[in-house]
Amino acid sequence: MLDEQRGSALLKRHFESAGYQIAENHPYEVAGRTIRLDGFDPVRRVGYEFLTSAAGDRAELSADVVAALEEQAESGQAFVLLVDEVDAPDEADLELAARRFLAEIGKRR
Amino acid sequence: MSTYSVADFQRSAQQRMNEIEQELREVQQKARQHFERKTELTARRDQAEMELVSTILTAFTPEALDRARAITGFQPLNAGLIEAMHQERRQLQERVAQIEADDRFLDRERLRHPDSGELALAMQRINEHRKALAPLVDKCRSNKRFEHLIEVGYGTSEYKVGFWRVSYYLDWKAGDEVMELFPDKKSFKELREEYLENSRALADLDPRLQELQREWDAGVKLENDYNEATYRLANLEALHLDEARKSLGQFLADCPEGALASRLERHPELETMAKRWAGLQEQVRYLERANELVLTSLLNDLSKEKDKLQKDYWKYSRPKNAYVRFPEAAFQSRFAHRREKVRKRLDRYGTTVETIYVFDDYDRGSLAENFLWWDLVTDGQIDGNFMPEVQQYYQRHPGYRYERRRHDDSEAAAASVSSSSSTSYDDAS
Repeated sequence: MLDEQRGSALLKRHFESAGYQIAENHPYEVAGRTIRLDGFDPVRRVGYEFLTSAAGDRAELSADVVAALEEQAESGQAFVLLVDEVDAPDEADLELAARRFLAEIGKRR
Repeated sequence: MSTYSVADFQRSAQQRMNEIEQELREVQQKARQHFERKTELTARRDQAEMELVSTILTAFTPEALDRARAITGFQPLNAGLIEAMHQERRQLQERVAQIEADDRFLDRERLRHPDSGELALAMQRINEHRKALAPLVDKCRSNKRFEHLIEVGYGTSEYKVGFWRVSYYLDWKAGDEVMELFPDKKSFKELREEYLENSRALADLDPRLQELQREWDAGVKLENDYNEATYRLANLEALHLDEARKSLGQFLADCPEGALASRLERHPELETMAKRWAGLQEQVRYLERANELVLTSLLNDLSKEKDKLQKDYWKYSRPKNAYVRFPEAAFQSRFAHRREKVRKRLDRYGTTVETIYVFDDYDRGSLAENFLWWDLVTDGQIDGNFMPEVQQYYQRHPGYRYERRRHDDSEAAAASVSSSSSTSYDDAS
């Protein structure tokens, strides 16, 4: 399992090599509040977020916030890849997930 | 005063380490020989003990028990033992009758015959059924995410994980990996259905198989109990006699020094046997002591010396120690005559154990309190002070002097409390 810091660096590298301009710890308005995403391209509205208890994400990303992010992805308004620590991906898994996620966005736009 | 260089030290250390390797091999070879000899002498001692107690307790009858008790003073050899045997016989007879009336025993062939028994066949059928179902299930479960895929409905319309979640891609990857194991399956959904069907069938079969196995084991245990009970019933007297003889042997072995002599003094026919047994006891004890106090101690010393040499060898290999000089006295004390000293210890050990092992002149021994088997076994030629038992004997008998046997006179007394020639203790270490 990658820790959040190494995982974020890996995703940033992948997203940027796919042409996204990733801003780290980016403020984002959703479900009537402002959260901070681990990485986000505000122009193309694509990013990623790690959900870890240690970082306090569970409090910030409450069920209604996650539901709103999911709704936005479903409708194509914004695409945020959610990496839950319970899935414990290793480096190879996360690379594969990033590649396929970005390909999926390409198909949907 | 002359001194030695690091190069001198390293040369001598290397040579000494090579010697120690050889010495350790010799010690290990002697340790193996010790084990073989101890095993052999122990078997001879046990045989001698059995001969002695069998002669003292000739049968499992009230008369034989009374006689053995009178000879040895071992009070538990009494009519109570006979009653205990009768009581066990009654219990065994009851148990045998109980088992013979048990259907699980009566129908043992019908139930548990390996080829045609009902239980055997039922278990065989289940196992064959399992063999047809289990491989697919086991293969699926070999993927650690497979059961999660089943749980979340992967491959079906029930699967609701969104593409924005990493778990979606992990499921996808795991699904592909599992499908690679089953090239004949067209879709994960098809595999899932077969898996669920097989695992449900297995879940039904397994408790049934466990139940049959429990039934089988209980029947087998019953048969084993029956065989044991009938064996004991058929040999009950011999078994109780054997147990009584073992207890007697233990009692004799635990007798205080000299007590056996007074107990057997009115039974000269037993004395030869008792002396042979007592002598073998001592031989086994002496062998163990020699191994522990000489060989094991030498092994430890050599191992420590080798470790220290290795550490120092590397220590003086470091550049900062390149110009160290070793004073002659320290150098000599570390390397001079080491080999000879070890050789002396090994030779002394070899002579000692060889002397102990070959001894068989038991008739010259004595069961009396003031008798030291060590001096008879070694003919007073080896100092036994390294053994606590021998040392304590000398302390308890300050006037004791061993009188060497006279080989031209077979009737000569082997040892006595007298003032004749004494042994000398040659400390070869």
